[in-house]
Amino acid sequence: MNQRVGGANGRRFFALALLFVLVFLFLTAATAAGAVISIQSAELKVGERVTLPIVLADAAEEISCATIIVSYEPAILKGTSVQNTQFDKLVYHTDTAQGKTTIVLYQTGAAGRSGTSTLAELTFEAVKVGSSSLLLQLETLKNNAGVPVAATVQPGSITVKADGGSGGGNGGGGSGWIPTTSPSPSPSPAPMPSPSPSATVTLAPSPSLSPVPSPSPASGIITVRIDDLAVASGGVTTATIRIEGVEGEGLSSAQLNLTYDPKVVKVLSADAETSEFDEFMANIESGKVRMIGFQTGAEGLTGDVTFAQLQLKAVGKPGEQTALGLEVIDLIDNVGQVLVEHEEFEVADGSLTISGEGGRKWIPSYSLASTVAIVIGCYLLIRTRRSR
Amino acid sequence: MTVRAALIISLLVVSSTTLSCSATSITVGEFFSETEITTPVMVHDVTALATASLEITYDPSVLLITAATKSAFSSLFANLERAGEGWVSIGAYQVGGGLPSGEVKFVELTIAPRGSYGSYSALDLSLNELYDNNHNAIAATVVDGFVYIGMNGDTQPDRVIDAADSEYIARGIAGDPGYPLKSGPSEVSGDGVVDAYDCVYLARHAAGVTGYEALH
Repeated sequence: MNQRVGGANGRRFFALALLFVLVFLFLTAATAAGAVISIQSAELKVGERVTLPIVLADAAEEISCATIIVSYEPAILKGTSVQNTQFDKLVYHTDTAQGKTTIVLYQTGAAGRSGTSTLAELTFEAVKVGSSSLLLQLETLKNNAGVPVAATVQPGSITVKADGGSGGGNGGGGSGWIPTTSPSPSPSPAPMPSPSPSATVTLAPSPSLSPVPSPSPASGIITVRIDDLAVASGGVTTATIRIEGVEGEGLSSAQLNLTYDPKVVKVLSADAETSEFDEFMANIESGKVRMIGFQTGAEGLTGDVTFAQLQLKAVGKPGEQTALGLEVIDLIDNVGQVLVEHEEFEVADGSLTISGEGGRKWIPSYSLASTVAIVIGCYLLIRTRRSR
Repeated sequence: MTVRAALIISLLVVSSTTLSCSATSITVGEFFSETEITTPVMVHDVTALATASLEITYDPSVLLITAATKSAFSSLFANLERAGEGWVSIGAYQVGGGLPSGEVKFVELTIAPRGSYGSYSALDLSLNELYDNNHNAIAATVVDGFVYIGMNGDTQPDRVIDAADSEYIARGIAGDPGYPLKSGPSEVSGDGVVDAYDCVYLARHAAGVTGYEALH
């Protein structure tokens, strides 16, 4: 009889354990498949306009509202309008001096929006040759009950080529963007000198060049570097990414990716405070960290610039190693020159090696409360066994 | 018996951990009113409070503090000399031991509205000192308040809560000039922050959607 009761209890315990595991797996999967908010990239000429959608994808639950700030280089782009949301209501404000458009979207009815939705379509006008990131800052994203929803943001960029001449095509946009020629003349009708000997951008034939001062390209070679590191298994170390040898006008923005083996190392954080850039954002994924930094003031960064400092935790075994690979997506100087196109940089990748036996504690240490709990637990266990 | 003792000890450990989490705070309250308000300034979760002093600042074009009385302390000193300029200073002390632990009424304020419908003023508390009976400083969190002369949610003040109020909040969040965010009447969802969800909540409230009847 007792054995049968024990068997029933065992099955009940097994069923509960199985349920717990299933719920855990479901929650993990739900967390991993988060919503994504993205804006596309485009390439256009001075005076042209482009309309780029901001898309919310993979929203697993009904979204009732969002506030998004889109930032861009005001010297290169002008945000002209925001329209065509799939939400019930859209309100926006553009600060042209700051290069910032704040968009507020919300539902007025009882239902929210799930799956994929166009949050808004932004129209930009190219005012000057150069390149600008389109950074998305998610202020608010809430579900139908007002609970915040986590989402990954994917920034875009717009490259503005000189007006006229060959090239300068609409390269990077994908299928969703609509370039349109501005009906109004460009704010700077005088053609600007090409900032570089790029094959795709040529000077418009004009006898009178714009008085805009010619950008002085960085004379030296810039090195984007991450050092070799060694850390004990389980230990945490700081990896610094530097952009060294910046001369001339200085850097206004940089976009880099760091790749690594997630079985060997885990990136814990990449705090904005550690970057010398005025604004810094990082998107930490498994095996890759996408980072972007940019200046909001007038000054570019020169010399050896600390781009980011990342906290890395060694999760592999002693002796394992991973490359810390750097991928330079964009380096833009303070007059809008895209240094990546001119190959005016070198990349010095690093590595992380897990050393020795460190990090393992043979004598565990616990807090006072934990110690008391352990002692009481042991006592009760012994007491229970004795009473049998 | 020994098992019981062990359980009691573990309960004591847990309760002491819980007790250490409580923190002293000072509040003044949040009001939507077109008429005179009487409200206490409360000190919460405090032990053996003996002396306290603070300043309250506000927009004098919106309201006026006309009286500060009825304190739990044995002695109260309220300086309302600069009330017309937008601030008052209040001090109090207890003779013969600290006040009983828990909630203490520091002072009761009488607030007279002065501004027109839709005007808003913060009630900012600035704590100068808070000491217990042994002259130990008491750390406290200060929770500011506000007075809004109008209805909660009526951000576009016309005595009607409708879609225009929801849009006012959205424009305020977006940073449109001419739509200053009024944290009091704009925070209608009850989560403590003014954000786009307040637009949703207010729009649903105005549309009569079930579950959005109460403005918080």
